[in-house]
Amino acid sequence: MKNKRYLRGSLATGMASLLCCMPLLGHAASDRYQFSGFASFGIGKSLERDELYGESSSKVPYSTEYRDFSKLGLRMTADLDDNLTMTAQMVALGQDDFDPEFDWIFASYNISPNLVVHVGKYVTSYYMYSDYVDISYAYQWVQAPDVVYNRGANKTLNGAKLVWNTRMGSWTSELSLLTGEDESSIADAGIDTTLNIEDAAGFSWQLDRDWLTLRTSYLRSKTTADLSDSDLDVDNLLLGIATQITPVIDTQIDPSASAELNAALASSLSADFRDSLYWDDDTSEFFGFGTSMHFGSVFMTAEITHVDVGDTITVGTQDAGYLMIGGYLPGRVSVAATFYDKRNQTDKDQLDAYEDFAKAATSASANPAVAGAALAVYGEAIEQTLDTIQKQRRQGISLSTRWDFHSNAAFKVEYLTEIQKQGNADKTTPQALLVGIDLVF
Amino acid sequence: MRIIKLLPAAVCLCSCLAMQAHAAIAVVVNPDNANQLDQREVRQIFLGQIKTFPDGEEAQTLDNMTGDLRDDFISKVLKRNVNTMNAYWARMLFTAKATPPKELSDSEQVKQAIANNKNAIGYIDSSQVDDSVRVLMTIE
Repeated sequence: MKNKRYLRGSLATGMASLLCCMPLLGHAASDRYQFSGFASFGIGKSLERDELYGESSSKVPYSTEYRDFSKLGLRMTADLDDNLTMTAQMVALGQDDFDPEFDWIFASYNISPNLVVHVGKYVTSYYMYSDYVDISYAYQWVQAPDVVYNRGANKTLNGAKLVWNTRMGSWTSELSLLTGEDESSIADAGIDTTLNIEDAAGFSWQLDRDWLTLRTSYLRSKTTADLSDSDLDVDNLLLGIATQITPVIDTQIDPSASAELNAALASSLSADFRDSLYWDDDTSEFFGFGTSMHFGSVFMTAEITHVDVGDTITVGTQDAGYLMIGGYLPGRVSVAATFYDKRNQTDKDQLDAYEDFAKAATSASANPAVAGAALAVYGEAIEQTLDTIQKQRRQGISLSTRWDFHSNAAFKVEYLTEIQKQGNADKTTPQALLVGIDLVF
Repeated sequence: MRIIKLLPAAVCLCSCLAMQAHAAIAVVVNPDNANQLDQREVRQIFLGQIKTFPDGEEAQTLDNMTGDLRDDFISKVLKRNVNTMNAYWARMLFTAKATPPKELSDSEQVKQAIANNKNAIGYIDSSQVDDSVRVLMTIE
């Protein structure tokens, strides 16, 4: 982490030095360097006193203070020769005190005009809006829905990307093959750790024809996260289950049975089973399909995604994640409505494995008379625990309006509301209002 | 009195001229560029979806910043909303997919740039076509 911070600082210093030197390079040299940037000044406020809007990395508080969505991005491209280009793009977020972070640093080599290889750090294009999620000017929202486009872990890859543009009859095709690895922090839902991504490989493929865009993407990787300091640590979790069932067994079955059963549970805990619950070198897969349509002043974009993160206890199976936005752009003022739904289900395989484990533990009990009754209590406790951790649903609606008051600037207002449900807890329905100005330069 | 009678007709004529300040849009290339393109291929090249002409040479697109002409080109040829083009190019540029066409102030500058570059492609007011460029198509 220290090295990364040092690297960031060094790069920022380097870029600043380069910027300062530019006027000295003269006209001929400056033709080889291009600078561009984007900026957003945005605030958000929850309309519900007791309910924060969004996930922890982008929560909108209800208070006299507003959530800061401001950001600044700077991009520099240096043409080293006709076919070799160096690109660096940094983003500084207001909520991070504008501490700059480089999302893109790569060298590009044009094998041919339509075949380019990028080597370095780049943003992974999982979703349709992923690779320009920081450039608010490029889309309709003040802030892209955080349920899908949470600016957190797994955003970038260090590796290589091959991009091939070609014609396919009356269609154009853009195929990207990507590979790499990454290390990024997760600070969400009580977790504060590092997510390691290794052996990532996948593709995104986009087809365009007139008003229609079709896009699909797939990425597979090995992921590891150390959760030993969190409530999601395997031992903490098993201890939580034992704590949950002990009073039930004591009062409903036999006051002396709980200690014996918990001991049997602990002794039956095989290393293999325990290992299967850790988030350690687990295969993660992402699949997405999207489409976008433009009919003059009307547009519509929709995509559906599926994420599966191996056998870790932390993440359930995402059965459905989809987003749909439709808009009307008659002139400089435009309006859009967005609907999204993301649902995480309890991983049934894990539930079955836990129940098999509990069955083995209770069968091993010295008091078989209570084993059957205890198994039912265990089963319920296990399912409840997994539901609490893994089961989640967020359905949201956003209504946004955009006014392009300048050729390079837009003013936006967005209202959004969600139905959120975590585990078996009661649902919440937070609402928020966001206002922002976006610029490109 | 006669002037007053002619005023509505004059206003009408001025309005028509304001709506259509140019004759037609001519998509032009260098006379040495032998490629033939249809409107869809022109659109794909100008949107950065394809970087080359059919013969494999890299296409260098030129934007003509003459107001009405550019607006018509975007709506009639690119089939896009004028107000969304900056957002479109923001996402193409910041994702390293393509760079926007080089902006030139008028048809004369476009013709001059095309005359000096075999791989350039641009669009001009059809009334300003001359021997320095070859017309690929004309859009009314």
